[in-house]
Amino acid sequence: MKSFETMAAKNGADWILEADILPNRAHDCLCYLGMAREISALTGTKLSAYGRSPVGRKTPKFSVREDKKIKIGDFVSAKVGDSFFCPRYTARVVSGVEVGPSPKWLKDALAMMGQKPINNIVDAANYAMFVFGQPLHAFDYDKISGAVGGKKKEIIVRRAKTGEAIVTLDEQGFLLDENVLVVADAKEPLAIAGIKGGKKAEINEKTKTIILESANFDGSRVRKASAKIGLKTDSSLRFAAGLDPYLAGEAIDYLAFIIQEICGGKIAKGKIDIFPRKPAISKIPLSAENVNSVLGARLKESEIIRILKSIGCSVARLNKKAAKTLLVSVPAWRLDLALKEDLIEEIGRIYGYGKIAAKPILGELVLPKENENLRWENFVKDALIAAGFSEVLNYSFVGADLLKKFNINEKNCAALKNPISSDKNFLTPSLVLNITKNAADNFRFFDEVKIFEINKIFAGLQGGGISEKKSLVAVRAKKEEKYESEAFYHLKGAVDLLFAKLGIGGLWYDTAPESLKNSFWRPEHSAEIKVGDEKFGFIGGINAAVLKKIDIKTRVAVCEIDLEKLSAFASEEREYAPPPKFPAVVRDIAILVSRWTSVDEVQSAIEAAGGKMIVDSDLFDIYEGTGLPAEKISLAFSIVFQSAEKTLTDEEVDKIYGKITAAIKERGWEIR
Amino acid sequence: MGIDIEKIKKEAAAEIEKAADLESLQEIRRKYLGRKGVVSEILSGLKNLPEQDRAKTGKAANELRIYLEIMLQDKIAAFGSGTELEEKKKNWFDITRPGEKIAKGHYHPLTKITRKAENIFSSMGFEIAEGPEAETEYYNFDALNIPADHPARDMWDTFWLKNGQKKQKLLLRTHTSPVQIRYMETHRPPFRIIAPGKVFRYEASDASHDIQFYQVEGLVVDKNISVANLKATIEAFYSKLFGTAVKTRLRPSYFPFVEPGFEGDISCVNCGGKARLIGGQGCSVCKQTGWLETFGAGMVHPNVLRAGGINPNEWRGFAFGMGLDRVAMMKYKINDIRLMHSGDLRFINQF
Repeated sequence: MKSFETMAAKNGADWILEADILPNRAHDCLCYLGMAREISALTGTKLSAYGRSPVGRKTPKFSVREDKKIKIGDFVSAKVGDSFFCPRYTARVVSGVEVGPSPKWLKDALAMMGQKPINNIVDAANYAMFVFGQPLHAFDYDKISGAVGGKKKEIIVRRAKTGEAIVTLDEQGFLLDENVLVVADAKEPLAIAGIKGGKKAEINEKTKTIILESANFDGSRVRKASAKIGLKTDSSLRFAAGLDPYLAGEAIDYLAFIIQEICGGKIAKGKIDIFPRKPAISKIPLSAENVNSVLGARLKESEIIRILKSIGCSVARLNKKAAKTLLVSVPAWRLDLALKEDLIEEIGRIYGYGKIAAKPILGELVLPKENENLRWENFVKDALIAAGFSEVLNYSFVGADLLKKFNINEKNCAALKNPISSDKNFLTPSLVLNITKNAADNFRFFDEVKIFEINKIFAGLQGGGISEKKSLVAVRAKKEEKYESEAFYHLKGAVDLLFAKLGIGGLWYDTAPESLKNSFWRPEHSAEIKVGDEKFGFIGGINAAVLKKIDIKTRVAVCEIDLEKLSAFASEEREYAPPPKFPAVVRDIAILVSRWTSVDEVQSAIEAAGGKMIVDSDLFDIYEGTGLPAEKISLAFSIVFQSAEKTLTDEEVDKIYGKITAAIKERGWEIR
Repeated sequence: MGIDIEKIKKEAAAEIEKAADLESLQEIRRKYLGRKGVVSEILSGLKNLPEQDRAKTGKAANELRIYLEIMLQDKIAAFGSGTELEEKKKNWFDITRPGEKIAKGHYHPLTKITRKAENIFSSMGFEIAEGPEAETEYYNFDALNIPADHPARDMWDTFWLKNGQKKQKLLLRTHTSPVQIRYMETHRPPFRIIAPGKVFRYEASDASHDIQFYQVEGLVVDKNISVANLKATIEAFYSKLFGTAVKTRLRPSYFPFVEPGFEGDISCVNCGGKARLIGGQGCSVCKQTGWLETFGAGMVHPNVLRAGGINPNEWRGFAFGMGLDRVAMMKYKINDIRLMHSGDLRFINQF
């Protein structure tokens, strides 16, 4: 509850704890020491022999018994070529070791962590890494090449040269370049720094003298190198997270101590320690008032100080004047504590978030600004749902294959660099693609499908970039329908209703433009939805060839509308107009026309002839078939005559009606 | 005797028996019991009878009258219920026939949940902000304190887009947090917003994960915002959403854009946080823990406030994020997240 998610399982007389270390604590908690510190902070139990005093660099309570006669300088020296890649390099030498299998306690300890025991030296280094969180390595001293001329051996920490190669302990070969740091001898690389040791200086039963290495390597550079060569190890994982450079100095002593205990040997006096830039202790000012304000709690200052000390901080007053402000010195091993916010988190979690009582926000009571786009979007959804359409949502992805089937040029589309599958390698440029498939799929269980979707569509722009906008698509389809007509007119009615509800007047349907010729639309059965000259989208049937390619056997009517434009034009404004003062006269007329005459043509003729006394002409019937001559249909209109100034007399209406019938006959149409 | 009352009685009875309707009965009554009816005639003719027959005939005539009266009444009553049947037939109406089917459209469950969330937060004074789904690397990561080459980037599996512009890399947003940055850049605090929307993750789909899903994130920036405020706000939201008092639990977690950072649980809505159901069996929804992991949150990191052009020394804020698909699945007991994008009406028509 206060540190990490942990699971516990019994293991004989012991327990195994598996903790999910948060990414920002990998640098100090991927080891026993880190976990022990956490537990100590939470429970108050004291840290034992391996513990450190807060902030300071006092040596831990194990001692390294250095030999009096042999010095490290007798064996080896070291040089660091890139101190940004390798901020610290420490080494020790132990001579006269007995390499063999590890003692049982060590084998058991490693087995529990899922590690294979190899030999007592390598195992000790591995174990020490898990205790301290500091990766350690051991080289066979005798296998290292000295410089020509028999001088002392030298370890060189440098960037690899392009083309340089190394065979690792696992017998894998790697080609290196200057993005990778190597630990090398005079001749060649001995190890990929921070990642893996090389086979050349491998420790085996014959090894007598060893060099222990405990170094600090820069996190982001190790990460890059590890990605470049494609090798991740326990070591690279720890460096990649960043590591406290002070750790290196202690870990090497601990390792030397263990090796001496289990392998014998003499520890050469002194250690190599190349540490040009020692990080300063971070000091952060903090006030109890601020801590409580951020947490919404009421901790006493003494409690805050106690908690900070329990995680290894030392606390002083900022100065005499600002006595209420503390100055907190952060322990070197906590790379994640850099700001006061970080300290507040430590205090909060250890105190216990459960102790903080909920408190509503105290603020100004101001009306939030309404999101106009969302409001109309919701309105459109409500209108369509009320008209019996159901809402679907689709993936924003389409495949190159599908784009082709729909006659869409993929050059105009937004493309994925890393698609999850080949049928999802583009972003959809139109909602028609996926919703048509929805309709077809639903025919397995439903005879009629009325669905809509509001979602984003994407286009790739010339010269880079992507444009996206919200689109509305609606489909009406019936299983085994041979003609789009019914579906089309039903959908048209829905569009009429939608615009009416949105308060958008002047809706009309224009013939499909030229651009629709090579698209997925069937231009002769499609229309462009307009208000004046403003274009809102299209409504129509899908091209038969396209339907065939996507294996849909019925005719489908779709409409796709620019939702953002709808929102821009929508209005809630309504103005009341009182009902007309003078009564209307209604006359019906049935006109026989050739079946290739549009309703619009006839209606316009009627209204043009009738003039302003016609308030409305409503087509109430279309009749074709028996009783009519071939290729003729009958259109029946109900014409409403009304004047705003007076009651029209029958004669006046007759006169206008006469004009209408004349105009009709003139066009070669018959009145029934 | 001139008058055979028995014979009249038998005749009248037969007529009454044979009568087919009310009218015929009224006729018979008139005939026998009316002012000028048979019994009347007999009674008024009594004076013409010999004296010793008068009393006997009179008595018999009265008995006949009573007898016929009763018989008539019974028969009329029988016809009366026949009238009821006719009434029923005239006014017959079958209320059990099915009503006219009016087409019903269905909202997508995600729309329902998103609207609920929008309404609840609006009622607490939150504005609703939106942003692009194809985002720049800057708004999705860098401005949120997640620099390139930082191990934290591994926390989000990203879909990258080819259509980058100049040096700006484009991706499909992995969270709606970029909307918060965009909002901060264009508005002065104090403010409260939620940013609902679709996000994308490059990961294998299964019953609880999908490459495309919905989130709602919130951001509150004001002078003295605290963790206590965060708790209260989230508790209010979930309680209203699930219609029951919900408790929250914050656990320490890490996100680069908040500090302190939390992962948040709510008390299990299925068992009320008790881990067991009435009846004793363990609650399978919360796996008997009593808690459901539902949101991430924290106090906005000063670097993020600065990226938004806000001075962290003057203002403070909290931010939270939750998966809406997950909330919908909890509320409506949906068992597979992939149903959300299936377009299957057998699923959608249930809402």
